Amino acid sequence: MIIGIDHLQFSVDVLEESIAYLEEMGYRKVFVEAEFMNGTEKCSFLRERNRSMAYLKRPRSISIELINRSSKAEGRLPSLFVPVFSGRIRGERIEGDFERTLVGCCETSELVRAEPLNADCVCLDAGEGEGFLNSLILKTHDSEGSKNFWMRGLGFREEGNKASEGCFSVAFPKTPFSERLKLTFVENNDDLETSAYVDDLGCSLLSFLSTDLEADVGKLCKLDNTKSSGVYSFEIAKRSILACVVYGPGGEIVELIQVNKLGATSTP
Amino acid sequence: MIIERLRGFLGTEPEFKKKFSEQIKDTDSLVDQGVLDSFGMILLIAFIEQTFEINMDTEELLNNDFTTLENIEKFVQKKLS
Repeated sequence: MIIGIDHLQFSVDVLEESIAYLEEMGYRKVFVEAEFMNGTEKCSFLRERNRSMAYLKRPRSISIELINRSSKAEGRLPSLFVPVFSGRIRGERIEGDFERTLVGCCETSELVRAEPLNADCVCLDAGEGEGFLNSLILKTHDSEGSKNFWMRGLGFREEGNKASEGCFSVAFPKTPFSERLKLTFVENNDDLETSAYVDDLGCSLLSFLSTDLEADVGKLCKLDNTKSSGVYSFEIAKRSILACVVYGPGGEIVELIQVNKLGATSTP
Repeated sequence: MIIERLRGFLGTEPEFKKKFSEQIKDTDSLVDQGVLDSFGMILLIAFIEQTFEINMDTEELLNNDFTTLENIEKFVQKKLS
């Protein structure tokens, strides 16, 4: 059972600069792990195994994990996730045909290049409100496959259909441990690199909390055009974690994580 | 009985035992008291499912408040009845 969203991951150039940028926005650093060695099972999803990372939280927002992007990634690769903030964030305003499509999916918004996150971000109600993160746009080259993946596989529910803009939205509800997340699909016909890596530049991965990793991954892998890393374990912030990374049919990357239940079943 | 077993688990499981106190009331929010977070919830759900031999689904998680001992007990009683 998936019980919520754990974090959205950004692969960035300089961890400290990105942390400072997010702290400016009200995020609080929970932990930093230098030179974290990922398990071999995750290798086909990473350009480099050894990554530094930071985890930041902010009330009423999806948590963010930062990792050092790979030095092997050439140029700026297209990121499939576009974060949507509830207010203006610091960065250069950008415009273009596709950018107008992204902005068209959200009411009164603009697109901003947040350089410290290596990400183009939609800002709602520009100039007003605070920059809460509760929404994402997914640029997918397989809309139907992606809808199936997020709804049947991950438990998102239909939110609305803005057919005139070519947008379709789903949402994962708020739980006591996770904020609500709205996800809007936008058809992308660009020549995207379909096998993006977790440590490619930008907003690369969305992570979910699972109570039964094997069952939830099994459910996702029964869907068409998905690929998983297999379950692997690691320790971080003094916790033993099981995880699995899965490619969705539109090229999206999600991660499912579960705290290791060893010792949790002993009846007192 | 259900609450006692939950209290026993929270008082002995390494994830919770430093944060849980017997002073916490059955109606107190375990989240507000700093006992339960998202990872803790995964462990708690695993304990509830295995100890009481019940299965929970996402709808039940969303439609019930699992943050107090009293509410968890009510949920388990309903599932067992």
